[in-house]
Amino acid sequence: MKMTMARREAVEGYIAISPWILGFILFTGGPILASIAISFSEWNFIEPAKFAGIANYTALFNDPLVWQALKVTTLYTIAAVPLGIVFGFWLAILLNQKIALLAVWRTIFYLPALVSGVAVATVWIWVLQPDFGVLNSLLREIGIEGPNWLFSQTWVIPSLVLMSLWGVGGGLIIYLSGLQGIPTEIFEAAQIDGANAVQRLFAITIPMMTPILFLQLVTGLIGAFQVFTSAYIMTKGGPGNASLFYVLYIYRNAFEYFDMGYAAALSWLLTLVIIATTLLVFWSARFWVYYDVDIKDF
Amino acid sequence: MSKSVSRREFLQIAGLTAGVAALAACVPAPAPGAAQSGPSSERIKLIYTTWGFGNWEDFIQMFNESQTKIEATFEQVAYDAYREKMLTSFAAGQSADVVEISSAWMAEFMSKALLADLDPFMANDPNLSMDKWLPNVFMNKMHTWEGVTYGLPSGDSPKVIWWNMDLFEQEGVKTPLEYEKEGAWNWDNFHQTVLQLTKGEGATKQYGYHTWMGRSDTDDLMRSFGGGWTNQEATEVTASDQKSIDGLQFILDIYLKDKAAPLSQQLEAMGGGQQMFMTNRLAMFMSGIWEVYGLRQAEGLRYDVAPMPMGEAGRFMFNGANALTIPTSTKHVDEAWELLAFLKSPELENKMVQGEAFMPFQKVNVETFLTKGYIPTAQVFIDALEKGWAHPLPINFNGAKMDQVVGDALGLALSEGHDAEWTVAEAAPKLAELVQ
Repeated sequence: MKMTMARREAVEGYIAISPWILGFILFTGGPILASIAISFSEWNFIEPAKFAGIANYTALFNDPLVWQALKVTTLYTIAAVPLGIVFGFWLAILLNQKIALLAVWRTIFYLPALVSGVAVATVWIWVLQPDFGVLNSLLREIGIEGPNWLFSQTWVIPSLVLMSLWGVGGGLIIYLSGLQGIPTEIFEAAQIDGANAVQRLFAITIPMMTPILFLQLVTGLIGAFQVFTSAYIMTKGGPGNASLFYVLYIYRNAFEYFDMGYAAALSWLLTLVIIATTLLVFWSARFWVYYDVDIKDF
Repeated sequence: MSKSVSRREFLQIAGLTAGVAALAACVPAPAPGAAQSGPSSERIKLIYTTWGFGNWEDFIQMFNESQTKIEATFEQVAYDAYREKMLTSFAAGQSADVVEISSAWMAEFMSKALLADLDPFMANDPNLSMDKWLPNVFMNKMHTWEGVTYGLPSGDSPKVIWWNMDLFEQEGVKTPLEYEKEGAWNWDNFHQTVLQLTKGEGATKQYGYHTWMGRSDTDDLMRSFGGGWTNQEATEVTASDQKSIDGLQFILDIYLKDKAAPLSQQLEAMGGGQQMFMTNRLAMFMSGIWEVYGLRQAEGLRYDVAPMPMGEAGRFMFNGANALTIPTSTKHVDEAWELLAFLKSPELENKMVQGEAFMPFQKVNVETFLTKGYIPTAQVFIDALEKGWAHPLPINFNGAKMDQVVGDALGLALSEGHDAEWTVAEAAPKLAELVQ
């Protein structure tokens, strides 16, 4: 029996993507399923896992560090994500103007996004050093005694939020492509009607960009809930657990205390929090995201 | 003759090539240290794994050359990933045949019968019987459990005070060894010395002392004052005792009141304790023998070591000696012992002491260590063992959590300027939940 062209193409397509499918099943899907089972067990690697029922999940609610980790992560997310979007968008608007050396400016602002998290963290340890770091030295020049930044319970989260802005250039390409996709006739029509730059920004640019802002918000939220490198390298969760990010706490339980069952339960709680937050944002989209094509037309 | 290749054919060929390449990549490469000649297929294959530094590949090669029936290979895993990899391999029943285990983890492994009893082997080995070792190198819960030996001491050392000879001479300050000769190297004179060696401000400030403000280093000091975070068995929290608080307040004052020790923000920005010591910005710091690796690289640096100061309750120097072990999961216990006995043989230890920054644990190599010359008063390390100053950290299966609790409390105390009573109040209730 001879295969039709369509069937043959489909088979070849599946063969072509089979390495990814296999990789996903073996290295992502499998561990995800296994982690569900592990979360209902007591397992320290040394001895065989023992069924623990829902003990790990009930322990979550009695562990003050879980709430501390959730609080720290939520505060960081609330501050870092909107600021990252505002600064990234603002930067994109500036770099969408007709100015000299535009390509050079765009490259300069995008470059930090390419530097690895560990390298960035190491540089920022120096920048935020309280006694002779760059930031406090500059503040001292204008008569302000800077705080202890990473070594202060009050300032450690603002420090990490500040540092997160280093990577706003990462969203630049997406914002720029969105900005360049807005039809110029709309701006021209508004200009003829007498709208000034601020009015055009709020009445045209921002509404037309809301699908892009929505995408950045969703991916930003998911990313912020999973912050790990900066806290692991720069603060180790301190001082006094003031920067105990949730994923860092999962890491501690899994790879410092080797309490794999509890770490798996923590991971699933985070998954639920991220899913709930993402659903909330998707629900809210109907009130503020503008699509120039009605979704139901698709 | 030429034949054009269609896009579909090209993709098929590319896919096939990628598949073959992927299969080829799955073929294991020859392991480092594997014998390059001889009928290796008939030999019993053993694996030795460690995180430690040393010329292990050369030593394994030497072992293989001396063997006709065993072929060993060596796996080095970075310390940060070591425990995870080791536990995973234990869980899978595929651990190496000879494994180095940190002193902090030994109790758990020994108590769960995961390691082979080494006493029968040692009794029959004239080189490694108990009388050949320096006193106090075998520590309860670190190498032995309920009187049975499960690990041979390996690597690490008691922590001593490293002092910068140039800075002491420059400031005209009496050295720790001069005090020690007079029997006056105590905490008061230590404090005086630290203050005399602290001067300047900002990035060029010279500090008198540095230690890691964690559980192990502060516990030694508190013990020397007559207290400790917990009792030696780690079954009871003793941090609230007045002597514990006095000891803790002493070191907190050096940081917060005297500002004679760099806080972690200063330390990180200046490249760490060893770097500060090598660039004459730190006069003394507490650490183990491994520091010699870095210190020897600094041209012109003159340094020496001294014991920890004597306190009211004695002298306590944290010793984290690790252990070389044979997992019970190995299929070749006798052969694994042959490899272990080679790795801990007096001859090999002598080579390590001569060539690297290792301290000996066997009596026969003490002379080589003392005359090697890269540490002027190397006798301090030997004294720590012979005079019983070296102590293990109180062992507890919740050790990592206890370290975290104490580290958090100390971190807060240093960053926010709290005293010892506050620090203890912060840590003690959490420690109480973790002691067993």
